[in-house]
Amino acid sequence: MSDLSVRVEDVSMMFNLSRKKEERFKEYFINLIKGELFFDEFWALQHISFELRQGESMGFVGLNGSGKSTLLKLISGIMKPTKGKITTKGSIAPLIELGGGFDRDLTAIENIYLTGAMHGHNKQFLRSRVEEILDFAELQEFANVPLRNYSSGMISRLGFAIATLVEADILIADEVLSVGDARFRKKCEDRMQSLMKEGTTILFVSHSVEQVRKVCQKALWLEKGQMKMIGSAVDVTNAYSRSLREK
Amino acid sequence: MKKAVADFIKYFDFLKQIVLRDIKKKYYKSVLGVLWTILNPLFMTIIITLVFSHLFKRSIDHYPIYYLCGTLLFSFNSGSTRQALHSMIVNNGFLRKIYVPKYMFCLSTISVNFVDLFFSLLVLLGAMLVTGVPFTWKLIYIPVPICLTVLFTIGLSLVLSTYGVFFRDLNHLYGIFVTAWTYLTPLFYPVTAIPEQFRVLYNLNPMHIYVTIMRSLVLDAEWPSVYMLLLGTLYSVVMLAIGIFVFRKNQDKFFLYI
Repeated sequence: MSDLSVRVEDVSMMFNLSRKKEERFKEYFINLIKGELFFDEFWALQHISFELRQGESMGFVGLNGSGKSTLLKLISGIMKPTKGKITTKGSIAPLIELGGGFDRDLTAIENIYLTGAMHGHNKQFLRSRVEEILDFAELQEFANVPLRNYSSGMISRLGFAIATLVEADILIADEVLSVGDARFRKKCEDRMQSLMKEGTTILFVSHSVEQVRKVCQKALWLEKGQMKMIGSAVDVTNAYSRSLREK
Repeated sequence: MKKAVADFIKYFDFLKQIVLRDIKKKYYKSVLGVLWTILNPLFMTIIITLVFSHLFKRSIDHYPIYYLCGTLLFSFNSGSTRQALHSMIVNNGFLRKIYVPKYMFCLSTISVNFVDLFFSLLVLLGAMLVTGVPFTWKLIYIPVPICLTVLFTIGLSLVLSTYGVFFRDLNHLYGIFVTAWTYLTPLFYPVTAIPEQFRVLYNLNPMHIYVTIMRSLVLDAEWPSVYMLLLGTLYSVVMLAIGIFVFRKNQDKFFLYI
């Protein structure tokens, strides 16, 4: 089992949804005194289990609010699951909320150093990669322009370029291929497939069934936080499309 | 523990980057830029000296030095803690995107303020030259009160940044608290202005202890009482321990609130 890359064991995630947000401060003290909870429990995920080997790719399909993004955030370590256990091996490049860590007042180059360090890379390594990143994002001529003046497509391109050009063992992509024009989308898909050939494990969320089939071997269908179906990408996406048509 | 150290080393470059970013942003588009870190304490000292030195002429020698010794530590503490309080909220872009040790954002605000502290020290040395306060060997112990203040500030910042996530009101509340704290610490008035019976209470104020140690090294060229040093160390260590405990206990819940 040495080539195991991601293992998710019976993972459940619960959120406390406070009913009256604006009264949180007051409520908190009432709770404290009474020792009662005024929260609605909401299980975003229940009993999720699967395993991925190094180099495999899995797509996640499901309606909005089915828990896809939550699952990816758990795997990338941003959140901790309420129950269950997640083990990952190697470095993770999460493409969640592309450009989320960017600072709009800084230039593209400064942001490459900033977010690159956020991914845990040191400065020398980044210096050797700056040109490559700018090339891929097609932003050479805007390298010294503050991101404030960028379009949203340009920002997403930069985000994608930074997250994928550095070698990672696991790539987590949430709706990233919906950014940019058709040409750049094609470039992203190619990039992901070449990463896969190099042995990167890919976890991929998309609303486009075609994209999942193109990028992934396996797929997981989530419905209301539960596993509805798991199997080969073609089988799962076919069943999912059929259920969409029936509704 | 081992993992925590490895994490710290791995993300140390990230800390450097966000400190650089914060410094850059602080002086963004200003003509004088970083020079303000020197001009700020300089002008503040001149103003306060002009206003108060006459009033406290009899009880304070070398008023500008007296004021600077206190204010450089106090501004470091109040600046760091006030910014640390919303450091998690301001940096939610990072926290929602990827795993990074969250305390790094606290440390970055403290580091930025530490840069200011460093330049204020240069102003202090300059002011000593101008006003003719003798340079003694005791000056090499200045890092002692500074270290104590830094440890205390880290602890307090961790606590504030934790509860700042859960209660947004804390931001405003703490602003008022800091104002009160500024006046309750003898920064621009002499300790002797406090009635005798209340002076024991002033020892409950950690900042007062650190400022006293600093002044005694710079102005009197001697160590303060052992009691003061022990008390100061106790405050720093306890505050740091509380900070680490509170932060570690709550950090996994942050993402629900930011």
